[in-house]
Amino acid sequence: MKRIGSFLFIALTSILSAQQLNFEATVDRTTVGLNETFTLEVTASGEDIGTVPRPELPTMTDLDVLGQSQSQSTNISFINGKMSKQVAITFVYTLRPKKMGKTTIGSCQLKYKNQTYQTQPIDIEVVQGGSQTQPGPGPGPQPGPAPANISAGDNLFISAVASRTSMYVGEQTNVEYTLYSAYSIDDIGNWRMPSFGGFWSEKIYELDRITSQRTVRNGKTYLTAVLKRTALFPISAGDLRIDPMTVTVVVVQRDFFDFFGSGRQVPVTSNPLTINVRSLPEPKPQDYTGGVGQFTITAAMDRDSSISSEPIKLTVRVAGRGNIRLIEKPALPSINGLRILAPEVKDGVNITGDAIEGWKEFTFPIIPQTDGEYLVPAITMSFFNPRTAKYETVRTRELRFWAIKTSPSVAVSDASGLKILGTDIRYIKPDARKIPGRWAGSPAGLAFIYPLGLLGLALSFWLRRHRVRIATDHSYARRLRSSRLVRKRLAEAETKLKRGKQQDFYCALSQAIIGYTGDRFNIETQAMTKDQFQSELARNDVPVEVIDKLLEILGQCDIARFSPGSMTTKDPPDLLRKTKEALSQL
Amino acid sequence: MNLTILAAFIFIQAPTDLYNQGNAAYAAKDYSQAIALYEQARRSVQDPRVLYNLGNAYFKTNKIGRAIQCFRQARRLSPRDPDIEFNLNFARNFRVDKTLVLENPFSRLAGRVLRYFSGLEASLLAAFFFLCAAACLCWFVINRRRLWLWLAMPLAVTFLFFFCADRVWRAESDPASAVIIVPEANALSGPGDDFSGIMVIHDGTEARVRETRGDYCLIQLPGGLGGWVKSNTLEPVFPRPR
Repeated sequence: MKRIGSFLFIALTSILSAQQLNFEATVDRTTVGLNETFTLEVTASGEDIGTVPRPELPTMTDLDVLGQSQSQSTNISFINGKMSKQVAITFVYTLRPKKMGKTTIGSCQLKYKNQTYQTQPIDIEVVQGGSQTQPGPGPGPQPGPAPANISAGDNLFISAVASRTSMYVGEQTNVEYTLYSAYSIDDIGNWRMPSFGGFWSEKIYELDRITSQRTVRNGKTYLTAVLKRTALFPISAGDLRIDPMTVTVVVVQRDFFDFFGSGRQVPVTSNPLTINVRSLPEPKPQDYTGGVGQFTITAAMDRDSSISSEPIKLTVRVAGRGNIRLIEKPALPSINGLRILAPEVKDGVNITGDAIEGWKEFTFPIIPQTDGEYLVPAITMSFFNPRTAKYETVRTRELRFWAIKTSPSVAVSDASGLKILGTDIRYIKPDARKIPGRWAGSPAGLAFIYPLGLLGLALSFWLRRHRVRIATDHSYARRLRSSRLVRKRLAEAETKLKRGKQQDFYCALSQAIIGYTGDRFNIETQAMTKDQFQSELARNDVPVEVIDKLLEILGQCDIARFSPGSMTTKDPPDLLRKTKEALSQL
Repeated sequence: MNLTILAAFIFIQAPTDLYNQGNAAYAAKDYSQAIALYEQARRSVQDPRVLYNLGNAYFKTNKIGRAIQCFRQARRLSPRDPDIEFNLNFARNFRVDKTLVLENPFSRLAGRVLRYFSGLEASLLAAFFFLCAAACLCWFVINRRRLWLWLAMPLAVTFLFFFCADRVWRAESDPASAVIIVPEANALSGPGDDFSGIMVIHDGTEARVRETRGDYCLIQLPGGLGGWVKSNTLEPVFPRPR
């Protein structure tokens, strides 16, 4: 709207083509919220006007002047072969209303070439809160406080730009992230960088303190700040995508309640980039180790002689501009009599301007195995030069060294101390007539011995206790003896029966019963009456029927012993069987 | 039938012949042929000579890991053979990765004393002395003669010595102890290709397998460092008999 206005104005002046000066005042909006700012532009324009003095502002009791600036534009045009030079000088004032209601900006006055020019008064309506009209985009407004509902967009964005988007594998491209903001910025935080997968990345620059500058882009003024610049070296060919980066920008914001302005956090994301990576031309040279750029190679030894197989350190140093960290170890020619161990690798990178330069060192320990003079031939390395799009080869010079005293004994100093070793392993064992199989490992069957031993120990404890009891406990000893004795007596009775001595048989039988019960319960049974015998057995918890059985047998024995004439019908073998049965129940 | 006779002939005769042929190949510096012959002999017998010569052949072809495996197996069978001990130490010193753990002199001495007897001898002697000590103790318990107690004590100490020796051999032949058999292996932080590398270990490095998951084993070096390596980069020092 305003641009059109000024255009019309310029057009008007050119139509008039007046010698005099045009003097006009405009505001960016006529309805303003309390505590909001608006701009008043006072423009003096005319053909070929030189310097104009600063116009006199009217006294504005209801408005505060917060700031002022000045700009000049020149428009040269040719109309009908005649050059006209239109000059417009604009004085910009930032104003803020003091109170609500209607107010008027009076006429501004300008004295130019003895003439006084005046502008039309402008009516301003001051309302509560924010105004209805948004600040229109245009070259006019300076980056300043942001309105209430801001988000990332045209006024706040990050632009990601790659210095080149098409290149060879391993070639360098720089990606720059720039923050554009139409608002004042307080802080930038919460950085989330993309992972740069598929690239070796090296940081060139990173914003540590906010330093911004003004930039006009698409006719709009922004505060810009370079957030980060990164060198990227693609590792593989193809279309590689670089993910966007995200930061949280704290934008200065003013509203009704907060006079000094407060920060509002706005997440801003950059645009993604796609980079087209070409693979390196084939065939690659044999000694190509991954370098893309321009490199030199040198080799050096830390000494030129080795005594007693002390390791010599051969350092191959590659230096130059390019993807230095991606270079792999150069192939060393194998040399008879030398043991070359895996190298120790160091590298360093420094950044000159926007280019990555650096060095990489491969330190090979070399252990001579035999005496003599050794020649390490030139080590070659090829790299790809993207400028010429060709492979180039660099080489080191030849190196020589001496090794002495390697033969008698090889002393290899290792991390765990110095050990003197023979030069070789000992020789193999001689031929054999017969190789028997051998039982390896420990026989598992032996494990049974251990519980067996413990069992023996337990057994001996039991035996000891048994012996002690026999010696000290009379009843225990008698009880132990009883079964042996009764077996003996019963056998005696049996033999007597076989020999036909009936009397003796009955006598032995009753002796066996009385003796066994006596031993068994440790009672004196020899002189006992039948009643005493019965009561003693009952006291020892012998079942009644067993007692009865025993008494019956004893009775029969007595009858047979003392009145032989009245032989019972019972036969003696049956009686013997009954006795055994009764005693076993005891 | 012919085949069975031949098979039986090979089974009975072969180990000795294979061993002698292997020696001839070794003398002719045809180490790969020697390895093939010794390996065949190893399949049918367990003999320190076969293992020692096989270890030598592996060493000559620069396979330090396999050589160490053979020497350690041979040492278990014949612990008093100085050649085996020497070559084992020689092969160990030839490794790229040096052991960063200093063995303390006491434990080294103890290990040497305890390893004087082989595993079989140690376990048999331990059982024998245990029985003797137990018998003396039993006799003491029964008879209460002090003499037997005094006799039981040195026997028990002797038993403990052999028992420890047996333990040492069992620990030595632990199936978890393994040796790297490829020139170079990457130890990763997890069981998969996409985990980040922790260190590079080389042929002959001895380690313990803590865990196996899929194609990967978690190994631990004597110093405590560890990582996941592919299962085919290492071999147990004492594989379980099939």
